Amino acid sequence: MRKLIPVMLLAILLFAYGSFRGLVMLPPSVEPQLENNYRIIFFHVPSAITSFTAFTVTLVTAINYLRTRDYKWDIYASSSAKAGFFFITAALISGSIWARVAWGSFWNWDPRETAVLILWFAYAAYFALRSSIDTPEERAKNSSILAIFAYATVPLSYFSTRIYFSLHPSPSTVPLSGISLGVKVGSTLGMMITAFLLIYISFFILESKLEFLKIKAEEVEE
Amino acid sequence: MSDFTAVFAATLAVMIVIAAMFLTALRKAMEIEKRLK
Repeated sequence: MRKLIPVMLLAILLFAYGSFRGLVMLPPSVEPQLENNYRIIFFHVPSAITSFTAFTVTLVTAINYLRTRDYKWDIYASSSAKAGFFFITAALISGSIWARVAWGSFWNWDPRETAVLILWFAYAAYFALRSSIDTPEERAKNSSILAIFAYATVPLSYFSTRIYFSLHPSPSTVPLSGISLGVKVGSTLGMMITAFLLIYISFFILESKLEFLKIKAEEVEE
Repeated sequence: MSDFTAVFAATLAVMIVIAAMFLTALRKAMEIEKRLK
């Protein structure tokens, strides 16, 4: 656990400096619709990217569980899904606040908003399934299968803006053309994405270790 | 809603969600500690 401290410290430092740059140092956007509200991008986009990364790790570890039937992969899958679920919730909340100022309404049934909402429900179902099965092997097997199917909502969310007309910009034009600030926005965004990924790695390792400890504690009790 | 309020609310919301994530881990650690005592 001590090895986690430098990772967490680096994450906090990057998060603090990135937030300062994004919220204070950068000038307002030249786009009249975005002006100062574009600063939400430094929290909204890293949350979404980190959650997609976490769900990809869940997919890989769930497949590994089904291949090997080694229980550790199920622990990794659920720990990563838990982190991904928190990050996508953060992206949904920050996104709807941004939508209120930029587009006039908290919820617009935009293709990406709808796709991410489906994703949110798919992973909520994953946790509901896990808590409804008592036998560890059955729980691991069924939730791994569901994790594989739930992952279909990740590319759906990412590419939804290309498939249908969307208020969100297409991935190829994000974020620089819409915000027109160039390198400074890009580097700050990169810094924040790195900070969020480090936060995810810290939580993933912490949660997995705690889950292993919990199993050991249960064995000691018995 | 002004730009300032929106940026403040969104930043705060993200930070609260991240804090909540680590609080669940803390709660789990406290449960394990209780079981081992």
